[in-house]
Amino acid sequence: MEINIWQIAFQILNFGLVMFLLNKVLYKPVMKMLDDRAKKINEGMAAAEKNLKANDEIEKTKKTEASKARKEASTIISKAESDAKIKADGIVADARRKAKEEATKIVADAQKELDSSHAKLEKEAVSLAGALAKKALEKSLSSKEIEAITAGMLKANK
Amino acid sequence: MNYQIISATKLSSSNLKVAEDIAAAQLRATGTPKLEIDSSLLAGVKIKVGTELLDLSLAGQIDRLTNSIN
Repeated sequence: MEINIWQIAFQILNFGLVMFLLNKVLYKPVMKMLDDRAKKINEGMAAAEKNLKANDEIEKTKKTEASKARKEASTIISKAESDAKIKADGIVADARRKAKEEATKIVADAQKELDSSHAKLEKEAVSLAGALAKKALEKSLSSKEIEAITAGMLKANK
Repeated sequence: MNYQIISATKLSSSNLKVAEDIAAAQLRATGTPKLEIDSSLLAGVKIKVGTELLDLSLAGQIDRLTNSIN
């Protein structure tokens, strides 16, 4: 077997040409396509990771806000309860004071009425006693006693 | 000036004399008194001279006592 230099050179040139053409037409676009795909995948992964982080952040914020809202609600309820209790206590105290005042007034009025009735009764009793004394004397005094009393009264005023 | 002496029963002469003296001294009464009987006086007399009245009756005394208590 004889080595043909020209044929080897031709084969090398042919191989180089094929390699050049393959490189230009096939390898580069395929590689570019693979690079683009890898890039897209990486971008997608980064975006997904970013979204996850954002979601985590949102969840965290939601939890914080919910906790804050619960605390605020609890504070508002406590304050409302406290205010309501103060108001209720005030209303009860006011009602008690008014009831006491009313009761005191009723007692005072009743005492006044009683005093007035007592005074009136006393007057009536005295008037009645006077009238009864007159009646009794009118019936019981004899002429001699009347004369003696008259003499005594006249003497006393002389 | 006529005046009245009102008594519960008819006055004895001595009591009438005292009543006249009182009328003269305290109410300046002169003349003869007109005598009247009013049993509601109980005892004693009332002497009226014009519009003036001197109540020396037992009923009057009881009334005054009642009024002073009231």
